[in-house]
Amino acid sequence: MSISEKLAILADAAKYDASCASSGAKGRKAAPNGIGSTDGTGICHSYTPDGRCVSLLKILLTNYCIYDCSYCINRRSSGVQRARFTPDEVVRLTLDFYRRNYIEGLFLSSGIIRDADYTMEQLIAVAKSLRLTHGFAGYIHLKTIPTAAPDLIREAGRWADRLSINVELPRQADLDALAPEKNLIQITRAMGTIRDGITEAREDRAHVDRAAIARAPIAFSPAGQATQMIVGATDATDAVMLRVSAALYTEQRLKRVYYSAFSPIPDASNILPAAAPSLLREHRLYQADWLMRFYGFDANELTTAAIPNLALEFDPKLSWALRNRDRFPVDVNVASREELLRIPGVGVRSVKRMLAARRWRRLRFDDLKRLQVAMTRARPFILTDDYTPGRLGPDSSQLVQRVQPASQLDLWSSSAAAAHSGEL
Amino acid sequence: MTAAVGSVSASIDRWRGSARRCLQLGLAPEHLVWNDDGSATQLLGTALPELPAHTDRGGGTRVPRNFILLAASVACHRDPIRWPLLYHLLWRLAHREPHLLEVASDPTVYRLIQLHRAVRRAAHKMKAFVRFRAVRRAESASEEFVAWFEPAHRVVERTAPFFVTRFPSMRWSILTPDGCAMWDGEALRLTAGIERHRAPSDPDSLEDLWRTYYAGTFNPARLNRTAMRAEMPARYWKNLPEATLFAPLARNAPARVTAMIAQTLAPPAPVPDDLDAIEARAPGLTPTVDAGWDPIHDPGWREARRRAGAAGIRAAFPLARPRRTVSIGVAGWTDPTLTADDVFYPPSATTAEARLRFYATRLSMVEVDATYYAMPSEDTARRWVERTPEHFRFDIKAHALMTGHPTSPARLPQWLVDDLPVRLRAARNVYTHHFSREVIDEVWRRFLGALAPLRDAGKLGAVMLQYPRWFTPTRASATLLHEARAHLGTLPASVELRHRDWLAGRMATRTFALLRALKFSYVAVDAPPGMESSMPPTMEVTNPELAIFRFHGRRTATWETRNEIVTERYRYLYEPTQLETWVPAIRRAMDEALCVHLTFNNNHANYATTNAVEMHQLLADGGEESSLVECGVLSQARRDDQQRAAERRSS
Repeated sequence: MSISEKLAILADAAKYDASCASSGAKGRKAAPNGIGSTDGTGICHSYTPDGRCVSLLKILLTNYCIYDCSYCINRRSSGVQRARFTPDEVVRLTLDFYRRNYIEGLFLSSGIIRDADYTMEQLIAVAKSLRLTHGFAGYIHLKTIPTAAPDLIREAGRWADRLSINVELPRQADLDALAPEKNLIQITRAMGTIRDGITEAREDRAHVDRAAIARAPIAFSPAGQATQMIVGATDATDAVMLRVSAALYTEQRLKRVYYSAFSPIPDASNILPAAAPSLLREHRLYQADWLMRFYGFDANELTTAAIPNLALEFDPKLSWALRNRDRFPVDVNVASREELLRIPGVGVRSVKRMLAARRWRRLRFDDLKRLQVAMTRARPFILTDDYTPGRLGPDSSQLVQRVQPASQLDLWSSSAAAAHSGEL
Repeated sequence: MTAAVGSVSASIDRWRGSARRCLQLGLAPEHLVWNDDGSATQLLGTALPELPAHTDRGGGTRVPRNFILLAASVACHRDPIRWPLLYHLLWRLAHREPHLLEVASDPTVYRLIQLHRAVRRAAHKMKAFVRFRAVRRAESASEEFVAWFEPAHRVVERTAPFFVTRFPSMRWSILTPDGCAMWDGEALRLTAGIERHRAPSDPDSLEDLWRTYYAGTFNPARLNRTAMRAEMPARYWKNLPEATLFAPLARNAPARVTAMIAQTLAPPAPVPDDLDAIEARAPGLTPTVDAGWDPIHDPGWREARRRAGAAGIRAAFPLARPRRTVSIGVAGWTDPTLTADDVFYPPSATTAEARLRFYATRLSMVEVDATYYAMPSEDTARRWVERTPEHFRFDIKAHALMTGHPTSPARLPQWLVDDLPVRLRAARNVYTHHFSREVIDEVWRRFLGALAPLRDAGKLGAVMLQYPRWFTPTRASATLLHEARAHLGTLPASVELRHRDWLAGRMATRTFALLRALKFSYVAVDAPPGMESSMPPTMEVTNPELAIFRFHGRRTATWETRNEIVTERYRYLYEPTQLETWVPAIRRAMDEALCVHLTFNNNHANYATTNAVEMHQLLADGGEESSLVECGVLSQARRDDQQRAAERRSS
């Protein structure tokens, strides 16, 4: 089978992993005879017509797999065409693409062949060869197999910028139904191994002088660890997903949780919903995720016992504000940072600029527009020196209609980019 | 334009000099006019006055560091407003508003931040969208990498260091209209901009692989073109190798999703017990379930039309060298996907007659497949003769009953139906052996009789006998071939075999000997490789008068599926490189046979016609052949044919 045929199969097989990010890596550059750099921001080298970023060469080493997870195109019982790269082929492909500036690096994952350790060794071999033999300083993301030996996971962390283990489904009951070989306890235990590796490396760095670090960098998955959860494959509610995410952020100190709307796959198993993925639901989960990480929201604030799913028609912050009208309107000239962050239509960057500008000026209504506040959503919830919401305010019974976006579609398309930048 | 060529760093230095001087002279923003190169004059065109001697040395206006960074960034913006805006801000910073930069809500600050964001975005997009192509210079063995890029703002100087850090061991150049950056492994050189046509334009072979990856990583279930355009503005598309895939990928996405959802309802595939069982399955023979869609070989008819146009040549006349001709055509000229608006025919060609006449101005032969399904009539053949020029050739596919294929009684004339046992008259399919021998003889007689006008006009290329997959090399098959020749008499005919055993090992020699003895032209085929019914791509000239090549496309997924719609099975556009691999074999055939026919059967929309024209150009580019008309061989070839026709009539 030619490289091109393998690539077609193994790229297709890898595309259901949502993450393609190359961000979060610490600044690093190649030696004069090497190649590659990372600077923390990440670069999307292309976008596919699904609006998703192409940053890394995201492929599987092989799509043969001994597991039989229903949602996965590569499961044992799927009739999909199989292929297998050698580690050398992946190394060559990565370097060839990188030299032409097509990619930021490699995101390598694999079906489980033979056993977890053997597969993990193969993944490590690729990363090690790139780093040691070819002086590659670009981004490497390795998918980690939770049942692999802890030593192998630690080894992977030495060469990768980011490690990830996919939770896939938030409850063991969901896994039992769809991914019988997966075990949530095993997954979190492996995440713990990575977390400890990252923490130790940070502490080591703190105790070594700068010159020593420059000579022999002590690194362990410097861009942190990430995971992915599939949305809509089971009846797990958004409340469940968000609580799991919150726990992963605090206990495992994850850098990112990716949400991937379950998307129809060729030759799917019959126990799965045969429907187009709910991209809007996925988008709302990302927004809620951002609220937890950067806006000081607690997972429990975003949904209620009565309505355990995020509203699709409003962004989660707006929904929260509509449920908590007594906390508005907020005077933007005196409110605290925490209060400003909770105003619908106001992003983290806007808040930063408001606080800076407020030291020298009183903010007026028109100023807020120039501070990139989304006024349609913010208007009923704010006070400025020259503006009070009056009839439009949070007490208005027509408020819901007033903040209702003109059309669902517009809302989605205008904020689609936000899912990537995270700006609300 | 002259100012624009200057480097950005020179213009920012010039602006800083002018701005410092203006500030010290106390010239308010409203009294100044700023030129694009960063220099200033007073309103009404007066030059700036000289500074008093004692102020010139210190210079010393203190501004926040952030202002310097902002100015350096904004200087790259193409909008001439940047200089007056910067001076306006500087003036206010220096006059009682030292904290102004922190007030992002101020209209001037806001506008400058907008400019700065545009520049930062342009720089970021440059890091993202520069695409290097590997070039091997004759004088040095090492590879060099060259990119042509058109940045939204003048960010080349600003962004070049990024590429130095990233690619220290590569020799590379980034060429742009504003300026060029070159790295030889040791030093960065910045030179003036160049025009696009001076940049090397040879594609890199890796680009196909990149496109393969790009198509593979796209999830059709998540189509969202708005988001894509927001992140990858159309202005960058023309220099991205993957851009040719944007439209076709998006266009095909809904159909792929519908297919996947429908497929889910099918019962699950059986579960193999262990990995060994999976690995034991030979790769390549496992069915691809998402028959998917292959953007390289199914780019849509617009792309195919563009390529046909780019081939820039009409294949209306056969290629020729003395006493040798190559005619190129497609299988059928009336397929609905071909006659659809804009695909191939002009809007005026709406009748069968107009279409055939137009077709003959584009290609020099055609294969008629309709005769496989329905017996031709002499009238039809006569009309074909009238509507085509004298060099035009028809290869006529034999009726299904002549080669042992199934056929539906509903499509048969009454005299044939009457011959069937009653229980079979409403059957879905009947086979040759269901009829009496006499009736089958009559089929042959009537079929060949209807071709008389073509034969007499010298336009009959060959009667094409395409045998079914189950026609294997047996004694019975050999007998059938002998019988076919007996029916045909001296008529030119060809044989297409579709079971690989015919060419397996020593059998090949015997197969070719048999065809040679019976004066059948062996039909060489290009088809999806690796299938039971796919013949190896072998050419053997078994008839010195005519050699035939047929190109079926290589769409593996649908090749052997039954009841596949024909235009789906052949939905495959060859890449020119794939066609090229056949050129040597075609040239060899030209040495051995008087005529060569190349038929493209990948007849989905204009895929076949496009590949036919491209093949014509490939062969014409080879040098020795020129257009038939030019070398005057047409009349010679025609005389030969007419003479042969006369001989046949007399025999």
